[in-house]
Amino acid sequence: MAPSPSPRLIEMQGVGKVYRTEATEFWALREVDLTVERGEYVAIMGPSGSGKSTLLQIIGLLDVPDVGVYRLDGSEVQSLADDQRAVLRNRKIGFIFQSFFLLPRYTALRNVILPLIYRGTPPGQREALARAALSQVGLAERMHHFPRQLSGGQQQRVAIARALVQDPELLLADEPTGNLDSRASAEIMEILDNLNRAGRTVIMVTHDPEVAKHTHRVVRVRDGRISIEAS
Amino acid sequence: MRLVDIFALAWEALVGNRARSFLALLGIIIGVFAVVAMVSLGQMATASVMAGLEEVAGRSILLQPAFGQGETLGEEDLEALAYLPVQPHPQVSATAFRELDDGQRQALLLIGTVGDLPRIDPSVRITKGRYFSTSEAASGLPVAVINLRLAQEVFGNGEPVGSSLRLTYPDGSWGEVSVVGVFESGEGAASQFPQVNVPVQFLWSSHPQTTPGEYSLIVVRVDPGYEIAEVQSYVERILNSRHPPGSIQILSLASLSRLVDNVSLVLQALLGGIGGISLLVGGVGIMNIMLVSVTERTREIGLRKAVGASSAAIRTQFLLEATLLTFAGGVIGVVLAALVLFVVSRNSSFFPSFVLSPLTAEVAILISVAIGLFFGVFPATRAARLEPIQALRSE
Repeated sequence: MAPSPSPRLIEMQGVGKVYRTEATEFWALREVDLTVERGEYVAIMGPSGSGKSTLLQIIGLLDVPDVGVYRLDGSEVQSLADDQRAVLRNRKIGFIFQSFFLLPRYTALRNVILPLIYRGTPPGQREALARAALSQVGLAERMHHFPRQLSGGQQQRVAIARALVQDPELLLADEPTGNLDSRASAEIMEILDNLNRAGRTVIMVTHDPEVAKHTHRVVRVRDGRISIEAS
Repeated sequence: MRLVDIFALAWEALVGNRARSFLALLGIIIGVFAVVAMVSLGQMATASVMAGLEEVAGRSILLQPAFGQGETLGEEDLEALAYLPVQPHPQVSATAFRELDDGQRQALLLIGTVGDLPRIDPSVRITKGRYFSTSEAASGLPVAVINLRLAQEVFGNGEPVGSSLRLTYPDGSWGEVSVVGVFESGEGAASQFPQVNVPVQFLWSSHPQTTPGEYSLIVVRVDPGYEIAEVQSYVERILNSRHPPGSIQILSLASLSRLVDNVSLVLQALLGGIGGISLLVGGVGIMNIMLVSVTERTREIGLRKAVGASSAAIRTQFLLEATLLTFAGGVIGVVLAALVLFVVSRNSSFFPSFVLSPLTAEVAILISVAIGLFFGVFPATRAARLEPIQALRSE
């Protein structure tokens, strides 16, 4: 099969985000140009308050830029309505958060099923997909456990399974190892490395240089601007 | 995203937080209980009054000269009604007194009737002795049948039948009758007043304030198998040809029940309104708890949106949670009200029958669902408007 000329996964031109109060305006991001190819493994680093989280949220369609153009998978998304962004998040983007964000009253399996419910996957297929995703992170045996019965590393693996069940183009991780001890961190990084090796695009915000070493490219953000792109 | 799925999410959220759900339910349960119990008590009171009326009026049409019109009812009116399928029994009512030992007087209701009344009016039951016969009545003998209340007052545990009773009239003259029987008529207010029934002929000849040949009331009992309303129209036609229109009042259970219905509607509206206020308070309680729930679940909402929930999905879920709560509260409230009303009707002589109309139950449940929708809109909208980043940031 001939490779189709697929567009770049992420293309940002002149993206900015401003927070205004009556007296002042604060540019959390300004003039950001960023390109991410399919299959890349990227770390976004920078001091706190640098705008790296805002950048990740804009990439993840959780937030909208005030200026600039953002093309995701070839189509402009910067001015989509809330619900259109929700649909795109559901189809293309998997999130992994520092504090996991599992629903405490749901079992691991139910947590993983959640995105499929909003996607409208037929009920008969949901559980099998969720089981497969949990097996992929090595938690098939714990799928009926509640989050409080799991260790931090296990909870983060459930969260990764929840992202994987969507079969997303893009995995976004915000300090995925920030709340974990070193052994659990290593486990999580191994899973992310493997996912990227299997072709999944991974973008990760971290302040930990050791974690960033796993990636192929580091995007440094300072005062709302991309300062260096190291490879 | 299918409604069934959102329904399941709403259900899980409610079951997942039982204590909060129960507290929210409680207000609605009490409100629906209050509405249903109040309205039904009104209906039960109406049924009780109607049963009493039925006992008194039954299949009867009451004819009575209108006050101050100068018209009277007499023997010819009875003859004019003779061709209809009815049993008329005319009455004369008057006041008499009983002299008490301490010189005081006790007012008695003195009624002149035809003989053998229980045959015509089944609500009159003889408990002792007998009713005076038609021939005794026709010859105006001084015989009397007294009601149970009077019998107990005058004779206590003694034997009233065969005793004599002295009746003092308002102008000071008096007559003496011998008691041949004791009767009881229903349970209504009338049975609480001492009453003496004597033959009409006797009353006319003995009581100075009655006019021989004039009746104060004719009770027209419709024969079985005939439509009361139809017979009533014939009675009206006959009487209107004999008397100026409006000078004779013609009442039947139908016309009385219209009056009772009107009173009862006002009663039910009033009681239902009181219950409705508590239902409203329950609705505000739901809103309150749903708002707390939205605040508590900010991160959950943020996460749901992050993984693809639309605002509409979030709004629908919260609306469904509120509505499910009020629906359940409505059902439980109706069941509770039914239980309590059942117990009340079993243990109270005033509410002999148990009434819970399906309409009341359905309307109460519908209203509680509507209250869930109404008071759920504000919290649900607030939840739907949450920005995912803000929601996820809140720790």
